[in-house]
Amino acid sequence: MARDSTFVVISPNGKRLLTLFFAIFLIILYLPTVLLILFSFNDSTVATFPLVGFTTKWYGLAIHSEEIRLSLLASLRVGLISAFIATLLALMAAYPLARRNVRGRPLISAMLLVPLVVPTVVLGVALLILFQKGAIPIGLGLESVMIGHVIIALPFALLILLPRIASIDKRLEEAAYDLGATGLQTFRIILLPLITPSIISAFLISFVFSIDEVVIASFLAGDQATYPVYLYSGLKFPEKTQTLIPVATVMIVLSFLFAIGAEMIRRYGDRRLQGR
Amino acid sequence: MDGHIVLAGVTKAFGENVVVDNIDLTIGDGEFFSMLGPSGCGKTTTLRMIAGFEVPTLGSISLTGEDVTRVPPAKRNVNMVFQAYALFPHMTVQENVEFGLRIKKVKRQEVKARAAEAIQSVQLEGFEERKPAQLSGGQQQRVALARALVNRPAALLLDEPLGALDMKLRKEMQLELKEIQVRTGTTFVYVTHDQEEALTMSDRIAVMNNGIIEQCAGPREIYEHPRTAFVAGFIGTSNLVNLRVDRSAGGCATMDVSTGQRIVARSDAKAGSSVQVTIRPEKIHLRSDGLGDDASSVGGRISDVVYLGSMTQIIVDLATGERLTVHRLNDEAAAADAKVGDTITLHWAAENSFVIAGLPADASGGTDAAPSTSGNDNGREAHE
Repeated sequence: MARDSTFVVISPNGKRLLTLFFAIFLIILYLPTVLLILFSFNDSTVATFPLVGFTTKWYGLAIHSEEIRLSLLASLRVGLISAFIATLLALMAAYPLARRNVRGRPLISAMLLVPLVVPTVVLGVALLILFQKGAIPIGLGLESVMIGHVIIALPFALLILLPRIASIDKRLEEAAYDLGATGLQTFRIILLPLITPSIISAFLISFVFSIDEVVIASFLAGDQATYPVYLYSGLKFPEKTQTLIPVATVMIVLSFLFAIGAEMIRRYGDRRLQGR
Repeated sequence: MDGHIVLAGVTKAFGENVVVDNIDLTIGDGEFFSMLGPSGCGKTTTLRMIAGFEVPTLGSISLTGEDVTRVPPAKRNVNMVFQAYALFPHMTVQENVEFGLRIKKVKRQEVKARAAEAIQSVQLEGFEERKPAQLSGGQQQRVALARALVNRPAALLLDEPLGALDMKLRKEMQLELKEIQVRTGTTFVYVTHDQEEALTMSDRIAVMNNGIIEQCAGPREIYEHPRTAFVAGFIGTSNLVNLRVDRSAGGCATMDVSTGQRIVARSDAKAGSSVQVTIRPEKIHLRSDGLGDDASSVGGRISDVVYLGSMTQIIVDLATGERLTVHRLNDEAAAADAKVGDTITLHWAAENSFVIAGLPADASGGTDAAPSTSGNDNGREAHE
């Protein structure tokens, strides 16, 4: 059995040790998040143990904060628009890379994926110089942040879309041409339905990257802070800390849901491609 | 509709690599025409040029009298059945079959009627709402056929359509394909590497090798009168013997093997020329009864006897070092009695020896005659 060969035989003691290791790993990974959620309901102005009592007043305060509301709206706007642009650009790049015999394909792919390894600080400084007084003086603001986020989200969107398009049998498109369809009809009726789940998945991942991103946003945001920038700057003021915890909690939960959603949609797409 | 296809001087090169080399071909209306050859022989590329997926580097292709060399696939009145079917996985059988008509904006009522007719003709009633993944390989094959035939193409192009099916189903589908072809009167251009499949279904077969057509003729002609060594070797089992013509008279060439042993062939090959002779294994007899005075007669030693169920395969080593394969049906006592080590005399009628390459004595450099590769529809010089 091919499947069995991927597993290694482990002794019972080894298994116990591995289970223990995994448990410790999970605790270290999730403890801070769980603590944060816990403290968001704690009736105390400082985030320390022991827990004093249950309250939702921090959520109430956060909801009524104009600053939080504005930063949240700014983040949603930046996130949605940059995710849309990144997904569209990724789709336009992925199709020829997957389908046509593009000259210099390895080089083009590498260049498209470079933002993955460029530190965001470096990218942030570079964009700051470029937008403030450089070749493209559009100034600072949410539009600049959007451009920055498109750059960092693009490789992820591409990495989701490229393998999916490549996995679709080229002959499906040829069959459509053969039956009289134009290139556009073939894309719309054959290819698009088959890759829609991946497109949604790429969009959600790009969106999560954007609403989560603080470095580029703090360089380029200018006057209007995005949600994570507001969160980060708020830490300088101890009296604000307790209102920030619910903000962070909401963000964690949202990111989590989006990531799970993206993965579920991707898997749905896999099944659909197999026609089930 | 007149579905005849003419390829004139068609060449296709990918970079330096010439895949199809100056072929001429005329496929008649309503014909079941096969292109047969090993992988890489250019048969699929030729089919894809007829479909419009590849543009010939040189030459022209015309369909029902109209030059379509540069017409895109969507605008050609031919449809293709792809290897592995290429059914649209997200559409039902019904939607797959209707696709071509809907794209062409045929009226809704007519779409329904023609789709129903096509689905019925491939016996898939009741499966309309299934997705391709919910069908067996044979059923998917039928959907692919219906999806193409519903457009009433002038010609249907089939690229190894039965390749993915198991042996039993493949035999059934062969008969069914042939039946559909006869019933609809559509020209079928069929690409396969399976010689038996081609022999079973085709009106004519073009045997291809290295981008050229080795021979283009009916199944019987191809099998019984192979024109080149390649065709003789590719279609069925064949014995190929290198010989020198000793006497030539009245369209009959005689090659002496040793005293009292000779191979006789109907050929105009001149005395002294080197030739290759093919003999089909089932044409070789163990007795000389009724084969005529000018039958071939060769002695040898049995080196192997293989029981093949309905027949026995006997391998005989000749004194010259050549080796002949003989197939005898098992209703003959002689076949059953053959034993390894026995000496045996083989006989066959002069009509069953085929001289496939006769080079004039002065032109042949050595004893090995290079097979000339010019085919029926391809009267060119030998291809190198």
